[in-house]
Amino acid sequence: MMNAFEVGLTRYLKNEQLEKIQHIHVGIAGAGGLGSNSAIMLVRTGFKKITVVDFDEVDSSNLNRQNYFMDQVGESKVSALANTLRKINPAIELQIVNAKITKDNIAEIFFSCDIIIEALDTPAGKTLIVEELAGNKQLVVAVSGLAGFGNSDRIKTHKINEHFYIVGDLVSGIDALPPLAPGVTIAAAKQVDLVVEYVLK
Amino acid sequence: MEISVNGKPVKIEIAMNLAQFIQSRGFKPQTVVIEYNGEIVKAQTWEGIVLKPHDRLEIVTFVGGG
Repeated sequence: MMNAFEVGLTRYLKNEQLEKIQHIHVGIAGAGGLGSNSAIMLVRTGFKKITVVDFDEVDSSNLNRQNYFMDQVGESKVSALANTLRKINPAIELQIVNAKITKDNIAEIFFSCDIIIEALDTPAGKTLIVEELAGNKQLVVAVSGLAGFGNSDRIKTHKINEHFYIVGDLVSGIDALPPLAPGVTIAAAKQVDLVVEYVLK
Repeated sequence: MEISVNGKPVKIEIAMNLAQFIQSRGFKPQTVVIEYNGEIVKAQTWEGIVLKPHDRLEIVTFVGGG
């Protein structure tokens, strides 16, 4: 049985499209600016099977771009995000993993995912996700270069191969430029749009 | 010999493996992912891959921010 949220979705998506979306399992590596925003967009688009992984807690310095609120500061990011996602659609099959992703646990965490959203902060974390997962049949959508402001059309989608895409301008890192809501949200939105296209095409 | 790096021809004078090539071009190894002739190759295998004529490399550089 569909809940009211899902009935609402059927105004915009055909039943067979919604069915496709609901069968896909998306893994989100990181629940920061990219991860929190992409998770919310995925749930709003109808995705139900979602795994979110992060070891961190919400900090007041996250609130400029990450989808958390003042009353969640100090809470674990995955648990705070789970609450928000369930407010949008209580029927999601959400798995939260409060852990740091390493070489040793990555395969097990993302084993059953069809699609991986790379949403980590550091270059080392990003390369770990791509090296370990982009060689499989899973779709990997990573991000490189979202910091700063201005000329937001620089944040582009780069297709590396059938199963591996990178969103970003490839140069604007947080070592030199601030991560701000517009750039981060644009990158997250492009990641999710790629996922939607991949599933519905 | 000549190889292709991100779609552009690059001349190499001496024999070298992928790890040496990445260093010689000034990349920080922890920040790049390499697609070697169409396959993503893990960093721990780079030393065992000796470059040969017409190899195709896609080198993707990651900057921080998520």
